[in-house]
Amino acid sequence: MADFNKYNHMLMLKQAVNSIVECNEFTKNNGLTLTEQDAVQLVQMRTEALRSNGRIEFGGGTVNRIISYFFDSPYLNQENYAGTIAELLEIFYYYKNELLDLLTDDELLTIMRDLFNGSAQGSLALLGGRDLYAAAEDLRKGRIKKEQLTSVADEINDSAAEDYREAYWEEFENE
Amino acid sequence: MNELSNKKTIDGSKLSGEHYFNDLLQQAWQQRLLDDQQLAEIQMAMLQLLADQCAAYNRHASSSVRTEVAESLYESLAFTISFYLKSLPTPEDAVQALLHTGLSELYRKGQNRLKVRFQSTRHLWLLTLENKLDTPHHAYKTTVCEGGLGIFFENYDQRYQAHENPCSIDYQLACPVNGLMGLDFIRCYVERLYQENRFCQLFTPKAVHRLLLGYDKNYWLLLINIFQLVLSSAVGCVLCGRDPRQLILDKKDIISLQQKLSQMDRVQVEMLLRNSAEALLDQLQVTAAGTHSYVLAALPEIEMLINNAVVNDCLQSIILVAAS
Repeated sequence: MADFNKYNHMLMLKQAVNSIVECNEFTKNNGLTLTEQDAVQLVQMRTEALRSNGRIEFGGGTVNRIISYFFDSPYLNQENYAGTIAELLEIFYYYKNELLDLLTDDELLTIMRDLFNGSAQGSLALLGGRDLYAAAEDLRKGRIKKEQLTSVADEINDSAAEDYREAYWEEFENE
Repeated sequence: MNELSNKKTIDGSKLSGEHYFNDLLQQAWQQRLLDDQQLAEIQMAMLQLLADQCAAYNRHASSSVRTEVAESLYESLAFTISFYLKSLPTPEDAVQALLHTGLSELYRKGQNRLKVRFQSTRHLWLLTLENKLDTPHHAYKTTVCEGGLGIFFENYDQRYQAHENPCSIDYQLACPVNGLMGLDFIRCYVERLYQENRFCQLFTPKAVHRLLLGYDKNYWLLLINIFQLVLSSAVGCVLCGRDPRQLILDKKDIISLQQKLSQMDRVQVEMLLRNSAEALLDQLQVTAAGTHSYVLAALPEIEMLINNAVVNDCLQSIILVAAS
């Protein structure tokens, strides 16, 4: 039985790796590709992210979905591509828990992408540690409803823009 | 015939009521009724069923669930499949069903059986409410009268949490329900509570109240079982030649009973109590088989308590002297 399980595990790993590599078909136009070794690492990172966040996933597809949401981000380049996707995986599962599973995968990924490309300006630390944190806090404390989260992302983006403008004018006036 | 006698069998007593599915697989594998390949196939089919269940739970909108949710969904699946498997004549038949019927089909059959059992249990619960006791006992009231148990029939989630009991039960039965969960547990609890109520209804609420005041003046705050104290005292009345319906004994009765029982050994005491219980059931004209057998099932515990009380010279705590 151990052999059967091992064989089955290998088969599933191979399938997951292949499906990630297939994403190169639509990401290569943006100058982003993953090697087979990157894909293997991403599958392993996914397993680790699931384990560390106390979650279980049947079937793969989450890595591909994250790629499909983020591949056209202006903050991604070939250098940081694989590493960013791995970090986003961890943030994604972490906030699935923090948002009490109230959001679907697509809803969470939409907010993550909007914040990443907006107020976080490609910073994973700001995305995970500030913007998503604020949105999750609002949702948990009942300050906003699930349906309002997208507009909260807009607000966070607007307020970040406002902060930037204020900082710019302060600097300008000081000069 | 020879083939039958050579057949490997599963020890049904080693199959727990709570984790029947897993125990059955383990026993069947140990007895070589399942080989490694078959066991792996059943486990894989179970995982597939769990994956489908998780997807349905997430309404196909999230690909992952928290580990505890997955565990709970697995328990629910295993409980529902077990519910059907337990209905088969023998554990060997259950193994054959696992081998030759798809798990999803077994799950569907289990769900159908659960649905029917749920309705019949709710009916039994309504009957239990009709014969509930008129008592100030707090745990009894919160469990039976104030919706502690009744809420189960509103909250039970047969699809995703069939193994859970979403209710609050504070009242302890004379014969506690062990080794069961979900609807199995509630069914057994309600059946036993129904029989306890039926027996206690043979006495007036006033007689029961007076009797329990003899146990403690604040008895309604204690986690006692009313049926057990009523039964032991009624048996005491029979032993002392009093009218069991009145449930009235005085201290002299208890002292003479203590003296009488202390001269007997344990087996003789048990025999005497059993005969007295039979006489009690005759005097009370208990004809319902369920109540009759429940009283006899509750007797061993009372026999043990009385035997210990005789040794420790505290019979009055089991066979009560009603408050005046």
